[in-house]
Amino acid sequence: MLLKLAARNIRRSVRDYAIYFVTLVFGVAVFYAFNSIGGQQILFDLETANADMFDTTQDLLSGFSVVIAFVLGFLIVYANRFLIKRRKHEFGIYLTLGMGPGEVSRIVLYETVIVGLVSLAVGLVCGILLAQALSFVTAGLFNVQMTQYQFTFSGNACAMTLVCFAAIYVVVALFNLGAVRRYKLIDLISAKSKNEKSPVRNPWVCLTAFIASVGILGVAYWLLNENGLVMLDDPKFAWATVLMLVGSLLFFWSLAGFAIAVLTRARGVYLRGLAMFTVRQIASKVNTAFVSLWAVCVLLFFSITTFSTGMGLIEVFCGGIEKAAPYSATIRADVYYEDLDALVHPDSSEVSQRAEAMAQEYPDLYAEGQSYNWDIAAKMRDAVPNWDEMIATSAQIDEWEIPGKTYGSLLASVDEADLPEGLNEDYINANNIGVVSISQYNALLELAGSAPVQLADDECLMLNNLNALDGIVKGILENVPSIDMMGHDLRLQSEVRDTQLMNNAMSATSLVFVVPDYVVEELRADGAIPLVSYLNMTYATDDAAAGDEALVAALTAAFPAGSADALENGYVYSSETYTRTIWPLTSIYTHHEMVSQASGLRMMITYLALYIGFIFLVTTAAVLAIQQLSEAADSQPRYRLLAKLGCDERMLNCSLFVQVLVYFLAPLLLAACHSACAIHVLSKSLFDALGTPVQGPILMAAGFTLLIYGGYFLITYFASRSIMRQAVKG
Amino acid sequence: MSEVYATPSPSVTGSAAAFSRNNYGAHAGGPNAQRAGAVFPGSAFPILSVRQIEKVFGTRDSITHALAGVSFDVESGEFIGIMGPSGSGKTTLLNCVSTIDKPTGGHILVGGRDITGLTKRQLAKFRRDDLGFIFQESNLLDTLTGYENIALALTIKHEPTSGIPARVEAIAKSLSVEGVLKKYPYQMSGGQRQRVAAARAIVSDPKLVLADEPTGALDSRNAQIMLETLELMNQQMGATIMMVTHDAFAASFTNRVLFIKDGTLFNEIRKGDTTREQFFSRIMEVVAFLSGEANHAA
Repeated sequence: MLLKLAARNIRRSVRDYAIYFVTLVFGVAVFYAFNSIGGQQILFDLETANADMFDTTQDLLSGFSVVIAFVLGFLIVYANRFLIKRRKHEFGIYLTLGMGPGEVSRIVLYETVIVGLVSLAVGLVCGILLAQALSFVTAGLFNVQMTQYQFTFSGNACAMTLVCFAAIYVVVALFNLGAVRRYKLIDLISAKSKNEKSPVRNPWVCLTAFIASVGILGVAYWLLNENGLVMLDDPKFAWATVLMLVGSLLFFWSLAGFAIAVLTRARGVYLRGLAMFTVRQIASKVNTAFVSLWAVCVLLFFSITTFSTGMGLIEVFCGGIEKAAPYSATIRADVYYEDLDALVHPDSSEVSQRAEAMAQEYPDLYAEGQSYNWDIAAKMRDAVPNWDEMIATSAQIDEWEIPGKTYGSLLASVDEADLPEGLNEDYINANNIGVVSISQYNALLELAGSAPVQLADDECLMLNNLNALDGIVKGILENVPSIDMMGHDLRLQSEVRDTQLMNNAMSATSLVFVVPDYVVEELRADGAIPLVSYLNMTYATDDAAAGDEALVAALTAAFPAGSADALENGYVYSSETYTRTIWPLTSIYTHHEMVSQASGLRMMITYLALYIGFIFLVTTAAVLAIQQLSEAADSQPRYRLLAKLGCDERMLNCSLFVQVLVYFLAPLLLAACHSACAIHVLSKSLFDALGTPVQGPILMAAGFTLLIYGGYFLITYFASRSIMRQAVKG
Repeated sequence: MSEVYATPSPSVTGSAAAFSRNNYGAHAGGPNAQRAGAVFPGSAFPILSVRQIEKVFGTRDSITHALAGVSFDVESGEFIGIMGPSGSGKTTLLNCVSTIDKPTGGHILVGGRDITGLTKRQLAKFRRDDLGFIFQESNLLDTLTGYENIALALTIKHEPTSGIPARVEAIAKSLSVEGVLKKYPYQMSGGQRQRVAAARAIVSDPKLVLADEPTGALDSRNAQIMLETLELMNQQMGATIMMVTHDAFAASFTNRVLFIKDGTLFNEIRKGDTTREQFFSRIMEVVAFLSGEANHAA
């Protein structure tokens, strides 16, 4: 009997429940789909590296699912409390008719369970379908063909979804029971006539608070800008966060009062048609719901920022990978360095300084290197028996430092204004410039299939592909006609080339100069050793994966001394001793592996961004939609009165449209401002430096937001309109 | 709601007709009371001309004649009261005149223009241009201040914004509500709310002000003030007012009272040169007769 009543209640209030229900279904579906990604591995012929990436992605998504579950739980509890509150009068009638509080609680419990079960079932079905669609997206992200399509179902994901949502519904049920039990009959019966008062705030206080909130947000933006969003443990970042939260809250608290104070003085606008009514409607809603608008704004900010920076990061890590790792493989050899800092910022004052230090610390390695003339390929031919079978061609690049000739000396004649902001001048100024011989450079160009360059004996050529340094490059080109190297005055060619000197995750050639061979020969004659060497290779085989495998196996066999792990992972400095992390082999970067790692990373970031972005957007939009629908229901008498007074349908529709639009736009616009600030700061401190354009990711984020948020907006408007029409007709 | 507007069957119309028709002869209606079928006056239209309107509710099985052919005129500057027991059809009549409801038969002319055939949008325009409303309650928009509630009647007519403040203030002053212009409805007393509603009804100079039990929710002191306000609107500002009430005291403030019973015009009395007290006792006589008859029937 109670069950029947509960079922009928739901059917009757389908419209109240519809948006809530759809959002639940979205939540369940997305939750399942993203947790089932690990299970898609079987669809693809993936190598170990990618399979690992799958597992990492899955772990990360599962981890974030806890956060997502909390957000969805908040939405469900909130929406439920809202729907329950609206039905006080109905519960009052049940109680007056002699139903016990326990029975009323049971009705509510049944309703929750029915809606929960149905949404869970529908959501899971949608989720399973969505997961199938996602596997095609995965294929796209990896640039791989699906070996054979088959229907996938993840028991783990399903169990996780069931457990999470069951837990959420239990919490909801407890909340509802508590809420219903606490009601007193008198409050329930008079509930309808009580909701007349809406808080009215003193306009002057609002005006002051609004200006203060804008000021606080300004300070927060400034602090964020100072912080650069890179050092997250900087107190400036914490302050910026706190001020942003406080400023936003104050903003929504004072927004309506401020708007009224301003608009009532603008008679031309205010005293026109239903403007007054519309403004007052919005104001009263914003005044009562400022906390949820604030929460919505914060969540929107997160979702927009996560999505666009996520997409930006993909560009950074994966966008230029083909260009950044152009060779089959690179063996990197850090010839010698005293500490890491000296490697990154070479500042020897004497030509033979590093050679002498090496000879003292690693006399054997120094002797070996000298005997091979630091030629890695020659050493490899001796150490690896089948070297020439594996490697078709190779070209070595030795980077030398010119002691005492710093970048600072070049920049001295460059106008300060031309230098990029935030440049760490101390470092750059103290660094010795790096040079590469023209013969090695041309050999590399040949390996890459490009035409060689001509360099006269009194010329040098600048190489750079780091966009962050464009300002410096331009400054040098315009102000430094020639550079003195080892006593030779070398004219700087006016063209700058962007050759990548080795395989890397991103563009990494920064202000290297190509010089005539005799300059390097003089360095060598004076007792210098190279700073770093790169041996770039082309495999004999066309099968890149097999080439990688053979190369790593051969090198691991040839250089076993405690660095097998380091070799396999292709990473540097993992060995405790430096024995084999300097010349001839520090690390290997292969094209194939870097591309597949980038694809894995792309999948991970894309899914994370989509997952968080989608759930946050849907949640916020659903909260706003539920509030607006209940507002429309509460305003029915007002619309009825307006219709009687002679407002036609068009006027009412227009007013309603503006109400819903402003209510949806207010938190979105503030969130967009916050995001714009965050993204601006990030792009200045990170993306610009890496030369990644952020317009694409921003447009994507905007489109994504527009689609979901806009969809909820339209549904809310049309549903509110039908509620209003009902009132006008009745 | 399954509401079927059936055309009245002859037998029902007949029995309804048999009920009515001036069987209370002492104060039989004036020349305007029954003019069904009369030729409409040519140049000087009455403000309101109600012609044989009918309103039928119900399903095929049970038909209710809320209005069964009511006709009367209201001249410009009149303050007319409509009385009748509950269920007599007086509210339906008001709803039809205010175009909130549509009659199933007959015609209503306002200023010589038939409003029964207008489209929805024309009706809305007619309401905001030609009518002013005062209802029993939920009269004001609770989110708007007193000032804004009054101004609303002008802004929805898209009147020039520059003239609005002065007009609102002037009307508020004459109806003594200038003190609550900045307040919200919940901050006002019931009487103040109704007077603000009256100000809203008249601020746009409508042809006709319709008042539906305007004193119904007020205590007697506030009811008196409200009625004096209506009287002031009628006498000083020349407003034509049609007020529906079941309260004889309220009706005694009018110039003429129409009595409705079972959907037909039952009687009409005019104040003429009598004092309000005399008019009140004449109204009471009719009311007593009506309720006596009702008791008798029961």
